[in-house]
Amino acid sequence: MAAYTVTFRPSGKSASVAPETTVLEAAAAAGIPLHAPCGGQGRCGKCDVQITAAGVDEVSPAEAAVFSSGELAEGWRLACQARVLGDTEVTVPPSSLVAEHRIVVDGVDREIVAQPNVHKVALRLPAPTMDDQRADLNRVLEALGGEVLAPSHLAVLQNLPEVLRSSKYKVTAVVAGESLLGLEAGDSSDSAYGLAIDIGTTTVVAYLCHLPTGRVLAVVSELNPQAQYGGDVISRLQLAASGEEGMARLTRAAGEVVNKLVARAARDARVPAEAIYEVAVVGNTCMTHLLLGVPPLGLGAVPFLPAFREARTVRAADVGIAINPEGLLFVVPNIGGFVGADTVGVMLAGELDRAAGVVLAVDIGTNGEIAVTRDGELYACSTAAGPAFEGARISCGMRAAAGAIDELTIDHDVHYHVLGDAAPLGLCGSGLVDAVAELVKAGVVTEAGRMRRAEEVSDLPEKVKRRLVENEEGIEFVLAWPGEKEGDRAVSLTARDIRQAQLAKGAIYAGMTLMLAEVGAGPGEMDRLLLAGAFGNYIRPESAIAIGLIPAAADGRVESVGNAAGVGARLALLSVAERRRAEEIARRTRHVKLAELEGFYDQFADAMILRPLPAES
Amino acid sequence: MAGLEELKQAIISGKREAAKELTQKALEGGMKPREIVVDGIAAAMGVVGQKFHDNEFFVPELLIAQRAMKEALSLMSEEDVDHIGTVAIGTVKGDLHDIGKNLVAAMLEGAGFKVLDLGVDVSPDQFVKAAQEDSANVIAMSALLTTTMGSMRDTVAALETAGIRDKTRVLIGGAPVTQSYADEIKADGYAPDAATAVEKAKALSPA
Repeated sequence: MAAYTVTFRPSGKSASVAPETTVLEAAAAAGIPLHAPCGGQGRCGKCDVQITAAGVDEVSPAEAAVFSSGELAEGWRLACQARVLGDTEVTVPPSSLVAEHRIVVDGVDREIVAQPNVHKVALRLPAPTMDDQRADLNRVLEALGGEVLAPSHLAVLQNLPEVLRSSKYKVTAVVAGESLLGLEAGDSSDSAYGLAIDIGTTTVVAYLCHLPTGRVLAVVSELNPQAQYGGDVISRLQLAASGEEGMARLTRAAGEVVNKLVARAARDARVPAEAIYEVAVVGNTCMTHLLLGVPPLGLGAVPFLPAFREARTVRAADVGIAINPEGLLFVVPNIGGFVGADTVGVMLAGELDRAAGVVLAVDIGTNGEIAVTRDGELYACSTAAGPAFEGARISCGMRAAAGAIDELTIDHDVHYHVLGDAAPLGLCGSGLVDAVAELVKAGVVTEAGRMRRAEEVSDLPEKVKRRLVENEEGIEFVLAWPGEKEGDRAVSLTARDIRQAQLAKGAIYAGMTLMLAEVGAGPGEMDRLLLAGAFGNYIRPESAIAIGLIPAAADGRVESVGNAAGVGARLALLSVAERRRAEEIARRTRHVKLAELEGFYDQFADAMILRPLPAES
Repeated sequence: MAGLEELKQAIISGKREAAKELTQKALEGGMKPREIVVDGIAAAMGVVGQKFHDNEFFVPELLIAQRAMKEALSLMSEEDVDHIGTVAIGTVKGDLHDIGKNLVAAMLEGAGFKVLDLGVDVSPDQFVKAAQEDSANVIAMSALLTTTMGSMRDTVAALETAGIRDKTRVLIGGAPVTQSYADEIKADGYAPDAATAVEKAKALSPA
């Protein structure tokens, strides 16, 4: 039997095929993936190629309906319709190639294939004729290969006929799973964006991503405005339980901060908000409930039950989120109690579900979640550490934004680095850990956490000594003197601040020790420790070890993964496979209730001392 | 009394073994258990409470002193100690937080009270039962979750229903608890910290 050679440009790949083989089949044989959402039926116009040599059959009616006579004269054909009748050459335009976008997800050293839930498909639909009398909607759905269902929301159908005609049947379908979210004029397939959000109790961070490539175009953060109703989760739960009014306020605040981030991110990236089609959310259980307007009534008391556990997809408009009107909101699943979607996000980002050995992931935030894995077993808990490491409850504490002291050392004087190279306004988490470590090292603060009086530290360098100031509120250590501008204040650490830091770090350290014990491991058997934190919080491992926030054995095994929960949200936004993985992680992970563990009390007491731990016996 | 000074220091600095040994020595030396409790153990816990109040001691110091105190007390038998009252203490229904409650229980015990620690998630009925069956003259309730504070009100009501409200004193505490809440639910006292709790409990107990 005769065989013909089809050569593809620009790659130069070729295939030897039998007569009457379609160019699409030849491309597949040559290892060139062409778009064919309608399954090669000639209905979507996406597999357009240019035949630059003779050797194919005549133009079919389906192709005549899609291409102009000028285009046909130039050799444009649909690969699924053109059949090979002789050796030929085919030029493939980039738009017809299925490109696998590999995304490198910073912070956790991961690479994934972009397969976002929401994707856009550019279509060149054949115009209706006497021989092709399909209804508008059917025309579109068939071009999408028959796997997309009729839209459930009427507005999509209401817009459809006009868009088809005004754009002369060259349109872009917005698809999410099996749903048609919308139809847009022309080829707008590249204008597809999504927002990954980490709703923390104290700080909310959003990442605007280009869906097809995964590129991050903007990162914005805001303080959670729910803080006006209470700095911690418990006070917000009480308000939510107090009635409709309280619940409405909290949900409104959540929606407002998300919309603020949508607007800021869109502005920064110069992208219209309507081009944002999906928001993927992580947060602790209480936060995700409040955003969705689901009263977290069970979370306020023993046994601390959420209203839902699995992932949820809702229409963003139903929650008042102002992205594309048909856009979606995806909430990553919870594990249990307060251990929520953000912990799942951290575990997904750190790939704890596939890790070898003993791996611990710690989120140094308000709820201090800790996840541990050993031989495929997954456990997670919340230490309720308090917001000290996010800047709250510390007199000069602030989140990691411009003006925050994020690094600090003390020798003959205090030296610090300020984020944004601005004048110092306060101290963020990493700055706090450094400050406590350095103050203990310098002898200003005892290991037990007491700030010494000026007369007790006479042997200290002059410039350090004079920073110990006593007033009616107690003792404080001035880290940064007031600037020259009027109204500038000092940035100090008070004796009480040290106690707050002790409580927080004691809870986290005790939690880590107990979680390791759950998998039968001691601190020395920990292979890796992933340190995650609020956006911008990169705590220095040396300081963390010095004050006993993390075990001394962690030295050399610490990976600072930044806002891993936010990375998890991005992974869920950009890949449906990662979503399934998140669901599995949530299902497999056992929720450990720390407070019920024997020995928590003693561990917590022992963990409050400011020195490397565990203490040598 | 010299021997007790060392015991006091051992408890204050949380030295468990030393506390036990010194208590043993004192008992063997013929000192009365009551004297050891009042002038040694209770005095030590009083100092601990004061230092906490003055910001010199913090939660860890209280916890280790409490452990040392327990070691010393373990050598006493029930009859040796003349209790100045009986307190039934617990964290209210729906709440699991107990560190603060444990500290108060320790301070009360150190001060000479018989302490019935009912644990956590304690219902109003359980408090009432302790008052009726175990002759607790003071009910001490702790809550850390604002969502669970209402159980304190319920317990006061339960004591009334059982007809023993006038015989039982109610003392409350916990981070979100305030004096005005205590007034609202008509509790007999509110204490912001463990040292004050001991003072109030003493004031509420028969002389």
